[in-house]
Amino acid sequence: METFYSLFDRLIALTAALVRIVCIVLATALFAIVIAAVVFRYCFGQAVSLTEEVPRYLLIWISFLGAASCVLRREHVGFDVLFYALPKRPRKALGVFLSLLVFGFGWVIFRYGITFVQDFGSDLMETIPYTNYWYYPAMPISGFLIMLFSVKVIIDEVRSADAGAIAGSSVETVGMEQRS
Amino acid sequence: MTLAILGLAFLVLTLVGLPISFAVGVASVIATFLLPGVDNATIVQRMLTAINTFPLLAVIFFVFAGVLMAKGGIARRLVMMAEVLVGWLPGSLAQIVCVASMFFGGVTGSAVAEVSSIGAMMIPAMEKDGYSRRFATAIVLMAATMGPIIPPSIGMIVFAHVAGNVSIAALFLAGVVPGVLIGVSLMAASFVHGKLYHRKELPVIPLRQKIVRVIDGMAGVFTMVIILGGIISGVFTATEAGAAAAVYALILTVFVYKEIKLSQLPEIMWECCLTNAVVMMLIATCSVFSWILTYENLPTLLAENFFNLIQSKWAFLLILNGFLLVVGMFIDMTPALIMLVPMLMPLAIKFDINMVHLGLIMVINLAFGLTTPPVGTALFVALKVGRISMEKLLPPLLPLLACMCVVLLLVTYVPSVYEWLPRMLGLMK
Repeated sequence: METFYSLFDRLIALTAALVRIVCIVLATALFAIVIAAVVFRYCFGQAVSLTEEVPRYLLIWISFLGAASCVLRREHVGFDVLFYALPKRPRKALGVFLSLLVFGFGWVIFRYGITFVQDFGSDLMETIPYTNYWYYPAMPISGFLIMLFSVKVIIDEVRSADAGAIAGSSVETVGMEQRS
Repeated sequence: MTLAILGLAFLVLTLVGLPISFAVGVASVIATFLLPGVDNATIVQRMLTAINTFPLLAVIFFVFAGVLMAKGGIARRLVMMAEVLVGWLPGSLAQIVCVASMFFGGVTGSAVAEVSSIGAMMIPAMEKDGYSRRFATAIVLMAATMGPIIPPSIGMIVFAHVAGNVSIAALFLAGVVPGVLIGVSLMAASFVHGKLYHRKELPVIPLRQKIVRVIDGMAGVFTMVIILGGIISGVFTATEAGAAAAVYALILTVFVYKEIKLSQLPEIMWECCLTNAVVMMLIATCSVFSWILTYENLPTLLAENFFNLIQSKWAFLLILNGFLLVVGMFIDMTPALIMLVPMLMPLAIKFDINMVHLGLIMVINLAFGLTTPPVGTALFVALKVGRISMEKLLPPLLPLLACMCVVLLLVTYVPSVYEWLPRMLGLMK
């Protein structure tokens, strides 16, 4: 069993690292495109249509992939006062139950995200000659990652001595570990 | 029936500790499954289209600029500049906190970053200079409320997105005067405190040193000039102003101040992606929630039943402030804005309240909520930085909060206080 946990932990760490790299690359591209748009408009007097559209699609990828990572990092904003007021054992059970709900929501995004991609993915983007297959899959992929990461949170809850809230306290404290 | 299930599920799940975005999401999924004739893929479609808008890009840009500035040593420079500007006034160190926080708010937009960086520096310095730790922590905490009010403000971007058809630029400019007035009210309180309890004066700074400090600090404050100047002059949209501020912050902190290494940038970018993701997930799931509320005619139901009980605009504004102060005590600013704006908008329209006015009142009240128990994020950071208990902090906090409430009432009932700047620049009719 320990070998299974160890392998699963490695899989999660690898997936999380991959998501992190993808987000950093996409966010860098997003910055570069928006800044290039301003430069083009004022230096060359040209407004390029894709500089309005592509950043939106990049934002969608970054947001939903990042949202899945925040499940693993327990950074989504919530209210944990009553949770921590509970005794240890009920708190642990509640933590597992709440993570199961997160898993269920991930499944809905995954399941209906696939339907959405199948039904509308072949439509063309607004101004550039590519199909929506380039950004609609952000939904089912993030749904799958939310499920995967919530399983990790559930295992951690079951295995650890104490139970921790699955929510962070504020948007302003996201990433505080690195910030402090 | 569907509305009752939706509301109850959301409330219970939030109270027991499910993250708000997921509590809203799960409640919406249950309600959608119960609604006859609705395709379940609507949930995914709504979530996706909710964040598929260009103005929302401003969130990640302003967060990036803010984190770079916060990590790039701007707090120390602003404090040193503030010492030159107001260090000679009674209550000198408290005055420095107020002015440095005012500028810090204009550079980062974050209350928590303000408390942790300015607080870590100024609370021990104030204590060493003879101030009580209680007062030092209280003034740092209350000054931090200027962060989300003085532009750039993530709360205002979120409000503009949820309200729709509201100019981010107008909201940003509307926040300038109230933010500065809060700073001035806290400076007045510091003045009185200084006159009554603290008569020490700071050592005189040589002229050359003064000039160096002001130039060093102003380089950081120039971010505000880029944002506001760019928007006012029409050079940038609010989103592009965010990108320009991010580039400026990058150049300043990496190449001029040299406090951030290039190797740190990926980690900072990742941190911004996570903050952005939390905000976007809230917007995405709440859009499904709002859609169900509209589908089930909740705004009309509220307007026909509950809202008819309130007849006076003045009474409404008073109730609104009280309600938002209480909400702010329990819920973080971003989720509160996303959930309450659709419900408060019909009322604001009924009483002929400008959307910029509504946004400003909401952001100010919810910013106060960051400093109040039981759930005040900035408060918790202040307790940690100041190494003080909640009971000890509350007594000096209350008079300062009262000073700020005067500004809140002024903004609520005398709209010309905030209106003149956006009106003068043609951003409001």
